[in-house]
Amino acid sequence: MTVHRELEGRVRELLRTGPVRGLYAAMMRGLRGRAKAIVEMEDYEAFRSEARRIKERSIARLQELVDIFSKNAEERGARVYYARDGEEAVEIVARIVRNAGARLVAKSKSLTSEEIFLNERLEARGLEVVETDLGERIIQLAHERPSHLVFPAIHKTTEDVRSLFSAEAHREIGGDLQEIMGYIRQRLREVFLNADVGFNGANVGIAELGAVVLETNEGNGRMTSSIPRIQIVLIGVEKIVEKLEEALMLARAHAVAATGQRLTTYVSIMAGRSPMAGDASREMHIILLDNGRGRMLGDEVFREALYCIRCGACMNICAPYSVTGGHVFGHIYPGPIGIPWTANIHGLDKAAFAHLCISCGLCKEVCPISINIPLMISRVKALLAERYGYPYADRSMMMYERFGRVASQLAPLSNWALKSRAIRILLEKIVGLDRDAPIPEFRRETFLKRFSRVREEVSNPQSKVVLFLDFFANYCRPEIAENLVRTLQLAGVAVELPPQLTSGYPTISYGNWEEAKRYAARNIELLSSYVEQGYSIVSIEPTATYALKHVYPYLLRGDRRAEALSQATMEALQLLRRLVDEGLIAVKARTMKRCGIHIPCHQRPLSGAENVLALMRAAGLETSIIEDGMCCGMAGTFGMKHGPIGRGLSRAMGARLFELFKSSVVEVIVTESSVCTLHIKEGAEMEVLHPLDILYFEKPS
Amino acid sequence: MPTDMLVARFIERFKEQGGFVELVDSWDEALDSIAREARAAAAPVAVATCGEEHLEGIRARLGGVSRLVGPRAPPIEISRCGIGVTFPIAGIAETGSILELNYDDSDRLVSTLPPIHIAYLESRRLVGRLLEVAPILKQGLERGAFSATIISGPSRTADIELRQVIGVHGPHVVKILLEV
Repeated sequence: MTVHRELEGRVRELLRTGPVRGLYAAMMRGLRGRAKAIVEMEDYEAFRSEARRIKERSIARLQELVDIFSKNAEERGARVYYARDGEEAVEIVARIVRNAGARLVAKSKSLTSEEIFLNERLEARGLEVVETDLGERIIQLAHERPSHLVFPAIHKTTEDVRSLFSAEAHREIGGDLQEIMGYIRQRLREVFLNADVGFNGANVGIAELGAVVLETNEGNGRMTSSIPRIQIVLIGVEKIVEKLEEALMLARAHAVAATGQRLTTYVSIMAGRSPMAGDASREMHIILLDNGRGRMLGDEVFREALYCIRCGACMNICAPYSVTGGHVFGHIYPGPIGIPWTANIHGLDKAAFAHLCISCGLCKEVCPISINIPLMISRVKALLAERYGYPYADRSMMMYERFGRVASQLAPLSNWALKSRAIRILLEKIVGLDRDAPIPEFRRETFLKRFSRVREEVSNPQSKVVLFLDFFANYCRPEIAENLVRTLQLAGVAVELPPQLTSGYPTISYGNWEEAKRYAARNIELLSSYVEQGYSIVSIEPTATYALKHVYPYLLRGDRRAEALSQATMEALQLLRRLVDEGLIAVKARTMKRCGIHIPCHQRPLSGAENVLALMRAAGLETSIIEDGMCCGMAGTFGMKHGPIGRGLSRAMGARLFELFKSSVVEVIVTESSVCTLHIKEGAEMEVLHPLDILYFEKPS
Repeated sequence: MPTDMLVARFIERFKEQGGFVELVDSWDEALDSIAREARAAAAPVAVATCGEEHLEGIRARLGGVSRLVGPRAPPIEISRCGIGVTFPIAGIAETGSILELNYDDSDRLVSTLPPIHIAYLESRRLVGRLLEVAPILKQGLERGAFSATIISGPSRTADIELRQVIGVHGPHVVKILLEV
């Protein structure tokens, strides 16, 4: 597990020095901008679905579109090349530059060029490459890698930048931002006007026009693509779409998701090479890069990574990335989507930062193409495990169900033992459970055992449900499940509790696909007959609901029963709200404290806070949502693991949210997630309750 | 969408993005505005390819005020200009943008190199939605190789400490003379 240990060392160091400066602000700027831009759009979800369909059909026809693009671009006078890998692409670029007798290449920002280490490789061939995007130029002068996709030099201060430019200019550049801008404008203007070759990437290729689309905010891309006599465009083959309309849609999706702009300031569409001041002896070279994309196309899981439009929204919402930054949470491609890309393009060993992913799933929710990034990352973890084995704590955490069963059977002795410092230290050493991690108390009488006492025959039920318990409600808080069952029966709902496993989500989190599929298949087997009889599946734990609704159908693609189970699954509070709305029960509050809601990540693609808010407000409670826009950092058992890639990172991720709660007027925190409860209770040092601890239900008077 | 709403939305969104919009009644009034800006800038004015009427108008009005550069001037000359004047083929209300269609890259540079970019746009050229420019672009392509640019305000960056700076490599002022 050398790669894991190396990663641990880097995270440990980061936790010591603190989060990457400025990074969180940059991320929030992107997220807030996106949220504002979405509100302005008539139907963002419809737009998002259409953007996904565009990518689906483009990738399905990739080879055909490459051919159409090449033919049309060549008809417009461009020379088109197909590079199988990075070395081939670099060689093509070098040859073009050499043939032109050029030495200076003015380059605009291109992640694809970074993928193939273009700058270093051209410089090794004696060529001078000047990055012209401000952030990229700063990074180039500092000999570093970008730490954020949109703001590559976010970790640099104005003073850092001033020093870098002063060193380049061999004179003192003033510290004022305008003076720095004046320098960079003048310095790069010389480059634009004198470069023989302009190099740029492309955000989209349009097959029907043989055209490329380039988006920039600074305007440097317009200059590199227009002034030099020779223009070179490097574009990954996955970026080609068929139609202009599709390209425009993606340009819009890109801007909205990346920064919340309606469009990037300059969206240039270049179809062939235009003359300059009447001089038509100008060249356009387009290099289509494969470099592993063909392989990804043939992989049923990683194929979806080719839908990525490089907006960076997934990294803006990623809690571990907010602490570690792109230098640790990334190789060349940073952030969540960087994991499958790195594994496929640069090699599995470079994708070990997959272990930093906490499987909160928010990257999928924020992605403008709805790419299932979390499950691709889980797959990368599975491949890492095949090669290197599972980190020992991960292996232990995946045995959570067995642990719960034993702890429950041995309660209260197990609870006493789990409070013993000596035993916790031993557990930390043996299974990787951090000695300080909060863990719940276990009940000897699980809800599965208790149910027969709680269950009542409901004559002429208004509906029938199966309760899906998951871990916590069964082993640790059976009273929550009991509250729910009694309330449902009061409302005339018949409740059944057939044998079942927990959702198995930790096996997804840590990348054990075989085990995850076994959980899914077994639960489907146990529950499907009920679904066929018209039962709804009601789940208390957001992660369990998420697994049933969104993960099982993915794992067992093609299994109709998985789809049916997904359709039949609903959240407990969703059902309770419906029953309240239908007048079958009335909701009351046990306390009148001011409540602050924490929305668990896996609840966001479900109802968000909609149901809990409605019920709590109906009960007369003063309630608000408190959030920092990201995961609280607990992420199931992640925060229980010993070490920097565990409790260390988990606490750092939660720090912002803890402070928000502490500084609010809230008296009690309410959340439906069991593990978030443990984490926030410890971090915010406040009372944290489940909604069913606060709410109770009666027959309407 | 009714024209007045289209105009209002376009203006609102373009301004939100840091651009300026001046309403003019006629090309003649637009010329007055260009001349005023040229006088204030005290620098040569670059002009993009346009109809003879527009070019003659600019020549006549700027005579004695500023040196006129172009159309189709070399980059170095355009880079010495204080103002670039272009003639977008469309305006897009949805995104607060203008669309420029160029068959010579020197025309692109007119809206790129000078610090002030002035675009003359007739309101009849406004469209509601971004996708409505697709047929315009496709038609434009029939004339040969082109570069089209959708411009949504001045050049900008927030690369240093997220502090927004307007006018990096491109213009720091983009002003639309919108004829209504």
